[in-house]
Amino acid sequence: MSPELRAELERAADSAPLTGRDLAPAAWTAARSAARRHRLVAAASVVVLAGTGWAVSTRLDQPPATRPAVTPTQTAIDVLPDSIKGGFQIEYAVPPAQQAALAPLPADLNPELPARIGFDASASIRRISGVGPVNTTAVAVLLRRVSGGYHPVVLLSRGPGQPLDDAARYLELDSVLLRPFGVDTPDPYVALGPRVIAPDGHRLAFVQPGEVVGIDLRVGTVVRTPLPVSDAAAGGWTSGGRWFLAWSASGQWRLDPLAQVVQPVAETVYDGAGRIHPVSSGSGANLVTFGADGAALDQRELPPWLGDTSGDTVTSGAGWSATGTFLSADAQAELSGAWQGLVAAPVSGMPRLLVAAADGPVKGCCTALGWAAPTVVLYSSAVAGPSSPTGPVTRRLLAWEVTSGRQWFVADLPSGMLPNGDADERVGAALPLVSLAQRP
Amino acid sequence: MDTRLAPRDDFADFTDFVRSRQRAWLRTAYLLCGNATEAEDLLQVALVKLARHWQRVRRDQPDAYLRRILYRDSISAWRARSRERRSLARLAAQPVPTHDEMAEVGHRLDVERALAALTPKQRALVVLRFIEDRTEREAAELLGVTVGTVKSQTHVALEKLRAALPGVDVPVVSGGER
Repeated sequence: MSPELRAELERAADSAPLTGRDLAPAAWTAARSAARRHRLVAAASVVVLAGTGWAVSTRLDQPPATRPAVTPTQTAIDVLPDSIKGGFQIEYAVPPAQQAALAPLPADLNPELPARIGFDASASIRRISGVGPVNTTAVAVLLRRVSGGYHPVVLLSRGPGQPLDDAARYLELDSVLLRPFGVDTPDPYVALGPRVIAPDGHRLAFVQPGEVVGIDLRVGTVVRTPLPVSDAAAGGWTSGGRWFLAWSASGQWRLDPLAQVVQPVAETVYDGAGRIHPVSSGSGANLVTFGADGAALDQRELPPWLGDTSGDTVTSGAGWSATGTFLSADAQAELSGAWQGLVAAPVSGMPRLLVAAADGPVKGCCTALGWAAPTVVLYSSAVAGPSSPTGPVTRRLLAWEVTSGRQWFVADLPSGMLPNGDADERVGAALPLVSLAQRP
Repeated sequence: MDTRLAPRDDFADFTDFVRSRQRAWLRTAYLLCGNATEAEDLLQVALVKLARHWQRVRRDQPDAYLRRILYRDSISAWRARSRERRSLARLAAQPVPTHDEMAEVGHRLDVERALAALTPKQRALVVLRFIEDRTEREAAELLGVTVGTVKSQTHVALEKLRAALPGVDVPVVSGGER
């Protein structure tokens, strides 16, 4: 035995950032859930053995089995670890009909978001041309339809000297006209990724056809930086906030959009600190981590239950990355037909999967928008209306604590139609697109 | 057989027991995994298994039962598949330590890098033999391997640690029963 080796190992363990979280209640609840499922499966087996002929003759008419609904309470809903399958800790999203009953996100976690984000077409919104520069930071950015394009509308934080009224916190950047991409196609779109707000909260940047438009709210400047191509249609600030990255099908660029600096980039870059993306062949996904300047650092392979992703990846200061995801056929078979949800993965450790209900949420229902805290992700949930599967879509901003499974309601988002459906064409209305400030 | 889990008083017994030992188990799990996040996951899974069999094992050395799960799960196939390479990115994602903490963090990272060079089974053997003072036979029984495997893998593990931690007095395994 070597006292020195033992001492070195114990010293390392003593200084390790081990959790102080009480693990016992979650383990007990998870074990009870597993035992309950075991009993249900055993009972079901008896029924099947006793009535196989009936089951065979009717099962094609039955809806797929669904998991028991999560029961909301007046406080935060605890969805404790239900099971571990496929290399994921599995949790279930609150069913669409119960989302409105979720407890609100506690104030100490809420990044100053009101219970309703958006505005009506007739709403009178303060304009930067009348207000001038502002010193408060941007909490969110929305787009307002105007003649010939869109104006960015910034939801400001409740800073000193700013109005407390939520409606007065919106500031329309009426000197910035954003044009959609693909105007000659049946499906034009606007680039509004999760990182149009720089980490300092004062600078914004938007990719536009042939250029990047940079805005500094503190001085009220708008700087247009030309790009060498016209088809760059995606971009965002890097996690360090020094650079803005823009992509097209033919290239990528690193910019300082307020200094008109443009550099072509050859290596793999991303505007977030992490990106979950599907592998090129088969099922499964990788989590790639990126540095403050957007350069790739490392990659880990995630368990193979993930299919395509839906939306961008957002990463917390604690290294958790989250994105919407579709599930592989194997996962669907194990999860009673559920086929999409939200995945959250740490740089090291077991990833979590928030499984959306099989019916109700639209395709690509869950879009990660940001993090309210190191382990609390904010995501948009899109649900088809009850009257028609192709009717209006209800969008809500929900929160999921990835380690405990708690879920909260955060805000109602601008509604909209299904993708490729009729968007709200009224001038002055908010598009169903929101970009949240990324907390460091 | 009644597979129902226990009522409320068992829950209280379970939580009291776990809370009294969680820190020690986490330290063991940390050395088995080589990092804190995986350690929590490993322990969480083991605790679920302990809870499922609490009525049976509560009076029969539940601490030993839990530790056996930790050791075996740490080297099981699914954990090996999900294990990712250690990365600078993970270290960068951790909170920035204060100046006074830098030396301790540096030491810990040295040990973590050394542990990362070992296989899960070798890490388990190092913990069993040099933290818990288990004999080679006990370690073999716990991990479900032969004594010969314990000897050979412990020897390899110590060689790796000696190379990764040159300032540490790493023992030389004699190869015989302790």
